[in-house]
Formats: sequence, C-alpha cells, structure tokens
Amino acid sequence: MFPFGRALLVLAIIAAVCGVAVGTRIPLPRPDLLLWLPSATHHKQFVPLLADWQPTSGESVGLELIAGRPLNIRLLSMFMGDRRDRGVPDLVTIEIGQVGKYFRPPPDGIGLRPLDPWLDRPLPDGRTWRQRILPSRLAPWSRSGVCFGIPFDLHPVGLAWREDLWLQAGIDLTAVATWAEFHAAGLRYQAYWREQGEAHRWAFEVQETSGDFLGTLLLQRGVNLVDGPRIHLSDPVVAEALAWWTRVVSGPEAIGWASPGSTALLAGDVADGKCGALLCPDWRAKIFKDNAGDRLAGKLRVRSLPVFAAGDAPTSTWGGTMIGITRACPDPDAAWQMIERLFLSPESLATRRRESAQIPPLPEYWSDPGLAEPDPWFRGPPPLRLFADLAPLVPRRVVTAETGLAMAALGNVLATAVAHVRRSGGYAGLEHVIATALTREDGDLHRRIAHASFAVVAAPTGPAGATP
Amino acid sequence: MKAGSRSSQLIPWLMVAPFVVLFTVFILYPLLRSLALSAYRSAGPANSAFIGGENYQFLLSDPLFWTACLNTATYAVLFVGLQLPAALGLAIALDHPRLRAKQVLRAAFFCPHLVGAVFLGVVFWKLMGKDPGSLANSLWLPLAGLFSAHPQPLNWLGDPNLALGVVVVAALWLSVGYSMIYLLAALQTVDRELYEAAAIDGAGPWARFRHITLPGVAPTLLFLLLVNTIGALQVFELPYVLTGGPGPANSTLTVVGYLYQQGFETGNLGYACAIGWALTIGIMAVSIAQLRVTRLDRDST
Repeated sequence: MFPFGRALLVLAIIAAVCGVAVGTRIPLPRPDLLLWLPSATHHKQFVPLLADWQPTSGESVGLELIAGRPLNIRLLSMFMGDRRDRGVPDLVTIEIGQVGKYFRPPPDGIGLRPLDPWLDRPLPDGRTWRQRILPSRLAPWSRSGVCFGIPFDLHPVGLAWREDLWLQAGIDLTAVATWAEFHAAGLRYQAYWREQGEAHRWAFEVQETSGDFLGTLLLQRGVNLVDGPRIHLSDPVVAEALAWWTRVVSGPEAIGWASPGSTALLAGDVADGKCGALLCPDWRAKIFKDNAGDRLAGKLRVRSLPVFAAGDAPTSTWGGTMIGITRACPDPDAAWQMIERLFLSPESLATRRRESAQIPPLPEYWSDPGLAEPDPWFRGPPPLRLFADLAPLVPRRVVTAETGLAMAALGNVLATAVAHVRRSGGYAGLEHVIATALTREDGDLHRRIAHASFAVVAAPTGPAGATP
Repeated sequence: MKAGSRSSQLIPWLMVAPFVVLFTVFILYPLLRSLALSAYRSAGPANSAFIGGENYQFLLSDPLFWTACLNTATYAVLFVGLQLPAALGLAIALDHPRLRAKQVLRAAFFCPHLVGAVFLGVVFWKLMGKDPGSLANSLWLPLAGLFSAHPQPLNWLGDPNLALGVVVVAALWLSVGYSMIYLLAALQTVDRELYEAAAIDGAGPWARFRHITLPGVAPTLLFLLLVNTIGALQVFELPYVLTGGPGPANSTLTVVGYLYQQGFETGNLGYACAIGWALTIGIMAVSIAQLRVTRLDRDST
C-alpha cells in the first residue's frame, strides 16, 4: 500500500499530524502594549496597577515574565537584527548589570527609543519629569546625553549587622566611622567569638573573586570604573581600595564570610550567626525580613556605610531597574503613559513601598511621613527612613557598554590578589601584585574597547576626581 | 516505461532533498554567514563596519583568547588523559568473568551520564562549597590537619588554582561510565581463546593486556579519543554552571565560553564568529593530527 515500508508510513503520519497541529494553531491575540520583565516582584506589583489602568486608557496590556538571561539574549538578538515587527515587545525592563550591552551601538542604533521628549514635556504643575527625577539616577540609563530608560528605584546602600552578636562581643558598630575602623572591629568580633568556641562566626559578607561589592564601595569614592570615555582601573584610589578589600577577604586579617550568592540563603547564614554584617541596599532589607522571619526579628540593625576617607559618600547604590520603550513600538505615547502608571504614579509608589520597601528616585517622596513608621522587626530607627535620608547622598553611577568588562577585570585582579595572599600566607608584596595586575588589565581593557567599540575612548587614564 | 524510469530517477533526489534543504538552511548558510560576519565589527546589521581580518588579528594578540585556549587544552589533556584509562580500567574490571552484580555496577557507573552536565554541575556546586561543612572540605580538613595546626577550608570553586581541577573531576564523573560502556562492548568482542592460549604460552597479565586486550579495543579507543577530544575542546556547560563562566581570574574560561561571552554577553558578534572559526580550525587540526598519529602507530604495529 505504502511503497516505502511501515516505519516510514508511521513517521509520515506523525509528521503530518504535527504539521497540521502547528499550522492550525491559533495565535493568542497580541495586546496593544506588551511589556517584558524579568522580575517576579515587579510583575506582582504591576498586575493590579494595570488592571485599574487598562479600562481608562483604552489600551490592552500584556505582561510577559521572562527570566533575566533569556530575556536579555532574546532582546539583544532582536535589537541586533533591527527587528520592528510585532514580535518585539513595546516596553521592557532591564536590570542595571545588563543594560551596558544595549549601549554598544551609536545612540541612533540603540534598540530603545530616546525618552527625552517625554522627560522634558511640561506636566500639569509646570515642572517636567526630568526635574522631578533624581538626575544622577538617569545617568545609568543614558548614553551620550540621551536618556533611554526611566529608573524604577534608587537602591541606597547601608550596613546591616547582627547588633545582638556585636554587642555581646562588646562592640558598638554605630560608633564606627571608617572602613578601617570597621575592619579592626571585625577582627575583635571574630577574636571574641573564637574564644567562645565559635570558629566559623565571621564579621562581614564578602566576595572573593567578583568585583561587585568592591565596585559598590568605590562609588562611595566617586569612582565609576568606566566613566564616559575614561577608564579608572589603574587609578591609585582603586589600587588602595583593592589592597584593603583583599585584606578583608583573605589572609590573617580576613573578616570575610563568602557570600552564598543569594540573599535568601544569606539570610539563613546571618540568622545562624555565621555572618555578622553585610552591605544592605533597601531591597535586601525586605528580603531579609521575608526570609528570616522570626529567626532574625529584633536582631538586625541598619546604618549608613562607613567611609574610606572624609568627603566620601556615606552610602552607595547597588542594583537597579529601568523601563524603556523599544523602537518597534508603534504607539510610544501610549507606552509612555504606561510607564507613568507603573513607575511614576502615586499608586505605583504606594504599591512599591508596601510590596518591596524601596525608595523611589523621586525626591518629593523622601519626606513622606509614612517612611518614618516604626518597624519593630529591625533594631534602631526604621530602615526606610534611613534609606530615604541617604537617598540625596547616593553617588552618581554610570553604566556603559564597557562597564561589564571593567568589573570583570576588577574581579580578576581581586582573585589574583587573594590567590597571592593564600599562596604566600601573608600580605608581603600585595600592593605590587595589585598594581601590576591593574596596569595589565587597564591596558587590555583599552585595547579591547578600541577594537570592539563604536565609541571613542580616551587613551590616558586620570584620577577619578578629575572626571567632570 | 520512459515515464517510470524518470520517476525512479527522481526518487533518490526526493529522498535526499529534505536533508539537503535542512542542511543548507540550518548549517551551510549559518556557517557561511558567520564566516562573513567574522570580517565585521558588528552590533547587528544596522551597526556593522567591515574590518577585514582585524578580528583575527586581534584574536592572535588577545590574552584572554590564549588564556581560554590554554584552559581548554589543559582541560582536554587532563580529561581525555584520565577518562580513557579510567573507563578502560572499569570496563576490564566489569568484564571479569567472576565479578557478580555486573548489571548493577554497569548501571551505577553509567548513571551520572544520564543526569546531564547542568544537573551534575549543580550537585558539584554544593559538594565543593567553601563552607567547612561541604563534602569536599569535610574530607580536606582532617587531611590538612595532619600537616597544619589551623587547617583552613578550601574555596574549591573560587580559587584560581583549584577551579579547573574541580571542573575536570566533575566531567570525569559524568563521562567515565559512558566511555566504559563502549569499551565493555569492545572487550566482549575479543576472542577469549586468545587469552587462554596466551596463558598457556606463559604470558602474564600485563603481556595479555598489552598484546591482546589493547589491540582488541584499539578501534574503539581511537573513536573515543577522537570524540572525547572534540567534546573536551568544545566544553562549555560545566564551567558555566560551576563557576559562572570565566571563573576566578578566568581560570575556567574556555574557548566556547569566551565565544558565548563575546556573542551573548557583550553583543560582539563579529569577534564571536572569529573565535568560532578559530576553534573549528583548531579542532580540525587536532583531529587530523590524532588520526595521523594513530594511523602511523597502527601501521608500525
């Protein structure tokens, strides 16, 4: 009957059935505005906000929650392919660690729309959104003076610590002013607990091979590793901070508990007393509260960051998310209205505070009396109030296509320095190892950028403070 | 008659047509396109600049590429060098006529291959943690305690000197059983009478292994050597899962990992294509060299 045998007949039938199934599949109708986002927390906040907004705006809206890595790979592919079809989302939220790659082409080749026309449009009260949003928070999402994203958050950073354990060790961390003092206090803390037989009770959460924490602290000193056309990798300030951090992380003066990578896991370590203190942006405070619950209730306290030297910012910024409109979006005005609803409206700010306890990048909300409501889960003043007080002092953060490379280079130098300390058993020659490695990485980064970038890079590196 | 012969002439072409079409669309065209793209500085078609051989020129002087090559070569040598003897040893042990529970042992050794690299990577990530309570440090600390009064836990995956070794161990755990199955099958084709005759002639275990077992499984060993070397040169998942990609101080950065980093993390498509072509040429060169050496060896014996 079938000339090629029974096996091929079965295969042909399966192929035909699959073909018909795929071919006759009815695609879901595409909403007028489609938003891709990687954060489940944001998704949870946006759903009720859009449910109220859709009927009044007349726009149908779809939210697609996609894990960060696939979202960025798909989006980057779409942008690189210059796709303008309806498969491309209208809006997208991008995390700060990922945004640099989108800024590699020249500004008119970036897959996101410039948002300056909407930022500069007068609002009913006569002001503009550009005047209302903290200017330094527009910097990470801008390229060559053109703004491509609206910030969701500010993420001021404080220092959180197990005050009960530190006080038992006779140390009051509120009296510590500098990182050097904090390091010395950490050594005393560990010595006390070693005497009590707690050999694995460490003072501070650190990363041994990633430059992320150190990069966060360098912002306190005004150092963005790549700041416009300048690279600050071989800046003496970076070398000094690296040498100090290496001591904190490794060798006889180490006070570091290696970060487990996940804040939820870290909450367990802190509750178990393995880690005594940590860098704590606003988003982390909430995660700690949600994950550790009763185990940490009334034990954790948050304060401003110690500084390296007078004049440093007593805070930094860690993490962040923006929303942007893609060039494929046929109705950018409607998309902007959706941004206003999700990111800037009073309802969205109230939801944000309730769901994620985050400080918005809008200074007018920092004086909200609600921020001072007591939070008995924490010791001391309520963290939200503290973060709001730190908000005006958050240093400027710049993100470029090359920032990721520079951060990787910083992590490499750190790993090299830590390996040197481990190998030699002490800190002899550490400064030389760091200086050599930084110079090497700086040269490599310059060469790499000159080869791959569409932007012009300044050849000589100068001190960070000299950057306009 | 004529029409019938024409249709019978067409049938072979129809049979191969699906393959030819799929091969052209999904393999040949992307290959040629990537070759063309490797001559561009590119962030997509709208932002491309023809730069000729500059990507290849940069590649030759790129320290990260050479670090990746060195890491990949080290991994390949360690992996293949340890995996084949281990797999052969296991196969010989399992082929022993007096061994009991062969099926169970065979399944046990083969099992890790079934779970895949990503799952195994996650398991190893927990086993090799820096925590003093991790399995690796639970074994290490008592051992180190013999030589030091204050033994410290090791950061197995965070130490540039250790991370690649951990990746190799994980890869061996994953793949030894797989190669063992091939070698076991090959061993079972070796004529048992040869062993009996050799034993009567007074040949010891080593002589029997050298002159009977090894020539008997040589074609399979050659196949595994080639396949495993190519696989090792393309390693990506395990370092990616275990150390997040390049690892501490780029100690687990592999060539494919570097290609991925350039293509998908940095969006530098042209350079990623150049890396891909360099890897292809490298694998072809290694494979041809292996074939030549083994052919020479076979001819000489």
